[in-house]
Amino acid sequence: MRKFLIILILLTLCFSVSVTFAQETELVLDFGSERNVSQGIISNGCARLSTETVANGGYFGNVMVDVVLYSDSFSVSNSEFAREVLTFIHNTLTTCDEKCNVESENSDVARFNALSANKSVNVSSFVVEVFKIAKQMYQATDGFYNPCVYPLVDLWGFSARTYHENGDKTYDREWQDGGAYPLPNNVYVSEFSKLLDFESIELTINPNGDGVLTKRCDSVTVNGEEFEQQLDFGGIAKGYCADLICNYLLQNSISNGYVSIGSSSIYVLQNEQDEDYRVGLQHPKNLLGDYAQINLKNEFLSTSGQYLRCYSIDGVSYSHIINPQTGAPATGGIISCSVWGVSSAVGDCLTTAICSMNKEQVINFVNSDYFVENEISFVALAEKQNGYELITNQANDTFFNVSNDVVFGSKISNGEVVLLSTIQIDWIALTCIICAIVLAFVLCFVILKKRDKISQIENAKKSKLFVLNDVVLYVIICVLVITFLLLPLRSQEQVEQIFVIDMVSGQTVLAFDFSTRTVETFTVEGFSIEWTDENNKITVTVMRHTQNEVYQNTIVFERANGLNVAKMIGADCKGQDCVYSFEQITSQTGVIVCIPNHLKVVATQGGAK
Amino acid sequence: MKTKRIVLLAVFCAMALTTFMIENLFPPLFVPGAKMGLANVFVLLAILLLSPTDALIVVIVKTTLGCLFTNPSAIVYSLVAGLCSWLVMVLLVEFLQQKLSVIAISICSAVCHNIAQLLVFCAISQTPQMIFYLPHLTICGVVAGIIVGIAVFAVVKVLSKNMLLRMINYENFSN
Repeated sequence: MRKFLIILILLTLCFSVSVTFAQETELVLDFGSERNVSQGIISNGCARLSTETVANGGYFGNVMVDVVLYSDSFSVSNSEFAREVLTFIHNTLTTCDEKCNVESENSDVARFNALSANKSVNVSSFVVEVFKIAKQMYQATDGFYNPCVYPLVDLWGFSARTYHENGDKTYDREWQDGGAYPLPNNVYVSEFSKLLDFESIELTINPNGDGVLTKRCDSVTVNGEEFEQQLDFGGIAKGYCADLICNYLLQNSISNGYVSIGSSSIYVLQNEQDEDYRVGLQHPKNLLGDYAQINLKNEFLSTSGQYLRCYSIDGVSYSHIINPQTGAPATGGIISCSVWGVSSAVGDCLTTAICSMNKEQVINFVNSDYFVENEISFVALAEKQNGYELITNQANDTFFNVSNDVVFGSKISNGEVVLLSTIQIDWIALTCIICAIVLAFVLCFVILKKRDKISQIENAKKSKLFVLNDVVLYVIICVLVITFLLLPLRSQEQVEQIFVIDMVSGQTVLAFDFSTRTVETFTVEGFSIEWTDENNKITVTVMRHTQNEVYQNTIVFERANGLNVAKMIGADCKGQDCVYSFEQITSQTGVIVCIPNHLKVVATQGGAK
Repeated sequence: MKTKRIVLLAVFCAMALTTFMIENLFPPLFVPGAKMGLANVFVLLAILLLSPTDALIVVIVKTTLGCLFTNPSAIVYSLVAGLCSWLVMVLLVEFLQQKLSVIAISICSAVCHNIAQLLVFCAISQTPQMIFYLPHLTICGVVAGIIVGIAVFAVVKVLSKNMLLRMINYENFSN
């Protein structure tokens, strides 16, 4: 059982906004004697936050909440104001807990869950607001965010109940050694999937803000036992609290600090120097490290991760994010997702939805109108064979300190996010070729006259080796060759820089400068580079990794006879055209191309996309 | 399609494909992408003795299958170039057969093949620098054309008319 306690604590570290504190269940208003605001900050706020906690507490049974705020009005002599702020935060969180906690019997949500079909229950305005947002997000994500997955979450062993060993349901199984929970009976999975109709829940809003929720979905029966549709706002309620707290803080002119609810919904203002916070996104394997860091200011940041609450059976990993379309834990390969640029409640729903999709669905979703019009920023970490790839709609330089096992797996092309690993078939070229072939057949059948076979053979027999008319053709060809030779002459300028470009993705893999003799490598999917510098020659090996093999190209940069020279001296490709047929690059217009490994070595970057 | 035609075409395709693969084994010349293009012998033969459609089929089969087995990344370039050279051959044979020699026709088509291949390659991989290999490739095309022309001439002259007619299913014609 210790393992689950560890999982419990780690659950709160979705973000490595690291603050040390004691785990308590009550809000502790702790000011200390002096507010030493710069305590623990390392070099102008650009590293991990480590400041004095203003307040912390545990809510919803197991979620850590950190509040760090700075304001001139927070002086020790005016502790009233600070107390007010913190009390508001505390009240918001406890209200949320009261109303939305699925486990406590008197919460609005629990009372709704206990209803049978066509019955209603009164709910508070808090739940009304949360419900409205949930409904909107259910529609925006096409059902990928679905608050009704709670019966499935419970079935697969991820509800809070399993940690507290509260109650017993018929479908409970025994946790195995090694932390695995045996797979549930498929009957339950398919029956519970019938309870996913979120649209059917009716909400009537009263003038005073309260509301009435009516359940319309029928219960399902398995082995004689009835199971009702159940809601869980666990994903969204914390975000909504963050939204409320944000409004309050802004109304009270507090503009520095941050609020972190479970590290998965955080609201970041400015740091004390009025600059961006550098926030770390937690690495799935190395939980104390980041896979990347971003700068944020006055933003909500929501995160969902599949790596915290999960277990694995037979090498397959099951996490707490259930894909509503399959009724089982998501297997799309999206390990973690973070969203910013929208309110926290919306962001929480989006991250939950994205984590249950696969890569293609994510790409479709982030290029959809909803995402683009609301200017939502996101980053998703997807699993790859060895490591992870980062899919995002932000520029690559938004991310700092990207971890070594993470490569960029997407790029922005024509305003849309495009996966790099998709084989980009040149559709234009393909359609042109197919058109050409069709035209050729048309030409054959329609335009050319029927041939008389006998005379055709006779004509063929009569063909000659040389006819006077030939000369005309030969003259034309000579003229052609001479024009080609006289084309914009090869540039006489020396080559100063060399770029090695991957022709499939258009990205530069390597850049070399002859004057500074520096090799600059870029992270490109599927390529790795090694280089050595000896005897005044720099030898670079570019390795292209496919699923089973590695193909190498070796290029040498040197200075010979007063000229800068680049030459391909070795390659793993068929035909070895690149090694033997291409001349070495000595001028600005030099080029070496290796078609099988789709690499080109050029002196100017004008040719790269 | 009559069986005999299919079989005939198949034999042509097989021969073209084999020469293509064998040719690929040769070390490349001093110009990138230069090959002797011996497979075009069969394409030209098909145009002269059979019909343009048959030749088109030979081109497509030779290029697609040949590139699949040797250098899959060059299919697009080779296909376009093959179609261009086929078109040139068909037009020349159709309208100017009496007036031109076989060698001239094959030289033209080889030159077109190389130029088309280079242009398509430059366009798709966005490497304008490759254009500077045009003169080299043209000259290579001329050389290749001469070789192919001589080969076709040899086949057409040496095989007797009777044999050729039998090939396309006309029997018992005396020469």
